[in-house]
Formats: sequence, structure tokens, C-alpha cells
Amino acid sequence: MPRRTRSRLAVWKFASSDGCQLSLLDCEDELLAVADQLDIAYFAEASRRMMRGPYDLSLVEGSITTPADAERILRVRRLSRRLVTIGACATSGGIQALRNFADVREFAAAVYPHPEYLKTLATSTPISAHVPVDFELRGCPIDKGQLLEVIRAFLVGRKPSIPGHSVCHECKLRGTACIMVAHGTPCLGPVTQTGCGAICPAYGRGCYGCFGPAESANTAAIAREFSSLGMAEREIARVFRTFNAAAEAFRKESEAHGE
Amino acid sequence: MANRTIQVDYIARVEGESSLDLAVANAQFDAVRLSIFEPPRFFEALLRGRGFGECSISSLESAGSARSPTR
Repeated sequence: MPRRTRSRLAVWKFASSDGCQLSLLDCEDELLAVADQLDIAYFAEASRRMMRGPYDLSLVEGSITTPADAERILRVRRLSRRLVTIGACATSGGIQALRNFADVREFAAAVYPHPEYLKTLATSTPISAHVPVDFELRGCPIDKGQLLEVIRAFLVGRKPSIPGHSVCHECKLRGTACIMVAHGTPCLGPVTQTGCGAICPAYGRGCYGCFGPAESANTAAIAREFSSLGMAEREIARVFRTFNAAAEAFRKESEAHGE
Repeated sequence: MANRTIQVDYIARVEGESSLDLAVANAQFDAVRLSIFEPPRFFEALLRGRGFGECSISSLESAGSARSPTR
């Protein structure tokens, strides 16, 4: 019996730091099983062997911030049967979307002695603002268990099973006492999608919102709570302005607090 | 020594992504061209006005899935 043709995987990078795609290489115990199920056809961080498309599954990391990348993502989409974004940059625009609330020329002048060499757009936008996306995997960085679930799901053609509930559920499951109730520590857990395993509250630190807004996040209620804990309006705006600053729910809430 | 051209199309992880072209003639470098195509993210600009407690280091670096308890 002839061997079944294996699915071809490609991994792409746009404006990002490689951390999410390296989660795939970080799957040390599972990597051989993954490589047995599919051909890693294009993964510049992992191998100089770059096979031409088309690809069955493309994992896309990073946001669109340059004119060249706005063109390149169209080509990646054409070459990909399924396209999954990995991480906060690709899914919401990432930390670099803070430029969307500022003047990118001022940012460039503040960082580079010769900003005229840069080709950069005024905004950082998620992949879904440019091409259709089959699934968006959240996180800054992503969780490798969730990444494996997404790959497994697409290999057999089913929907990935990724929970959309908040970090609060995860604290309860871990048995972490609520740091906001018990210690008055501001925490984005109630409005943030789970996936991280609720690490920060377990160490006494409020959730940073790395996985972006949870389903039907009540950001106005949590902002009122922060206010009663003594946070100034500007501080409240800033907690929503991090890795998922451009995600709709977080963007709106930050704008409601004066920045 | 013959003229040589060394082209490295993809340098994956030297503080961003880039390519390097070297032209060598008579054991001398004739031309060296480093092209950085990693898009800038302006961390130094966007961190202004932030307290250190607001900055999650491993997230800023997005340093793989290795997780520090102090992130």
C-alpha cells in the first residue's frame, strides 16, 4: 500500500520576536511525533531547507507593520490551505500596536538615529485585518500544549478545542486564592482568556492580560474595581495597553480612561 | 585568489532577521552588504512613562514558552 502523502507545515514570521514559533521547537518530548505526522516544509528558524508551497497548514507569527509585509501576507495566504495565527502579535497586533495610539514618526525618531532608513507603517495590525484566518491562537507567548492541540486538530480536519473562558476559572482549578479579593491586587484575570495556566496570580502578581480579552469580557466592571482599589485613570488605561492593546475590548476600555 | 561572492540570504536570530552579502577579491573584501528586514517594534519608545512593575520581561522578549515565575 502506498504511503499516505503527509501534510506540509510552514511557519512564517512577521513583526514579532520569534518566541511563539520557537514554542514549536520547545515541544521537545512531542517534536518527533509531530515530525512523523507532517513535513516541516518551511520553518526558517529551524532549518535552511525551504520547500516551495503550497502548504497544508501555515502558522503565522507577528503583525503587519511594513508595506513589504502587507504584500507578503497575501502571498502566504495564497500558498496556504489553512492559516492559523499564533500569538498576540498575529492575533491582535501585539505590543507594537501601541504605535496605533501614538505618532510612529515620533517613535522612530526616539529610537533610531536615522529613522529615514526605516520603512514602517503608521499602525500594527493583526493578520485577520489583511487575509482570512482559519483559527487564532492567543497568548504572549502561546502555550505549547495549545499549539499541539491546534496542529493535531488541523491534521484530522476538526475544530481545535481551545477554551474561551477567563483566567479566573484557572485560578479556581489551581486552588489559587483570588489575589484581588484577598490582597487587593489589581488583576486582569476576570476579563482575560485562559491558556497560560494562571501563572501570575499563583505568584501574587495580577494577570497582565497576555491572552487578550475573554468571551464577553466585562472590562467596565473590572475598571470600576481597579478604581476603587485606588488606581488612577491613567493607570487603568495603561493596564489595558499592553500586548493586546489593539484587541477591541481592551482598546475601547483604555480609551474610556482618557488616553 | 579567485573572486568570490558569499551570500547568506537568511540570518535567523542575530537580534532580528537579516541577510548578508560579501564580495571578496584578492583576499580583500570588496563589498559587504547587511540588510536588516526585521520590522522595527520601537520598544525603547513605547516603554517611556511605564513603571518597571508594568513590564513583563518574558512577554516583552516573548522569549519562547520558557516561563519565569516573576514574569
